[in-house]
Amino acid sequence: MTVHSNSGDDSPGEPVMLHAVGPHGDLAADSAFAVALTGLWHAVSEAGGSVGFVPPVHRTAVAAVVAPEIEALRAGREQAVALIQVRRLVGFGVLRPRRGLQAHTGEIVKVMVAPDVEGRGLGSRIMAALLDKARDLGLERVDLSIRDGLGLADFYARFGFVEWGRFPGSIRIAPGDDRDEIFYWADLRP
Amino acid sequence: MPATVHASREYGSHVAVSERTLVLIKPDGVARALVGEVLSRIERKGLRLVALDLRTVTVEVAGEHYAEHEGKPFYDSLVDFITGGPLVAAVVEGPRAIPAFRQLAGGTDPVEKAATGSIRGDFGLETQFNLVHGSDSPESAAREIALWFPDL
Repeated sequence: MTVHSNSGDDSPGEPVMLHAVGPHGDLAADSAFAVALTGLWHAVSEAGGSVGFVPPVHRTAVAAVVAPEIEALRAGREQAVALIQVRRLVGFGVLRPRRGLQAHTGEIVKVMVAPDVEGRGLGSRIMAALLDKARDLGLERVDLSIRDGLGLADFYARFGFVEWGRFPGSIRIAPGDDRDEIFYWADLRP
Repeated sequence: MPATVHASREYGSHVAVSERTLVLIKPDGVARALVGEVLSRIERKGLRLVALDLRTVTVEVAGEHYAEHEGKPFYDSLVDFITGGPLVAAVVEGPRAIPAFRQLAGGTDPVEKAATGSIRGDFGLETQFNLVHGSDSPESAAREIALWFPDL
């Protein structure tokens, strides 16, 4: 048996495979996937990523939010893509279609890339795959929000996202360090 | 020494065959300070501890242990998880120890499968993690005890 190195730097050229997670995907939203997702989410949070936590982050706290996420995927309320490189989960992102009067819209949440493989276009692959899913589902408008101060605006602008508002100071990173939550939307109509 | 069926003991009028099973309290269980709770349930059940160790497991042992998941494309992430913090490994002995501990543990899904009153049913609510591991057959008990406690 071979257990590969944990460092992506050892294998920068290894192919990264994109998978769909959940009932319609090729990866089951099971407890094994939950374990893998917790590891990724924890690593991203510890590196300061904008996925709901501020470091230091305890893995148990991450596990508590992974559980409902897995449940939503298993129930089909959300769709997700996963990036896997050399048997490691290195990327993840979720599309959450809305219901009722907003059924033509969807929200993109929890986009994350492992810190040691950043800068290789993996975030773009996740976004492109999620937007493809949104178009396949017939969604006309998608939105997302980010934490100000991370320099992410240009990244999302590449996919057609424009700012439509912000909630000033609504994210408290630390006492005295309040950030805006910035809201973006993209028009997917042909 | 065969690790699975190693002794016979008299219990009243019938002979009960004692067996051994490997129990792990996984890193999430240790992080949530459930070690005492789990060990207490094992002892209250009437099972006996033969070996007990808090350790951070090596990638090699974790890889062997997770061999059943080798087909998962994200297998190394599972190995990362179990090597990412200390866990408790124990060998537990008693009549029908293997199914007895699995009864204590409850089904692998802490909400859908594990009954209330089981370890996973009681403590697995807010996580998908199933907190503990117990060997599922005499064959896997023998393999796992040899892996985790080679000197036993």
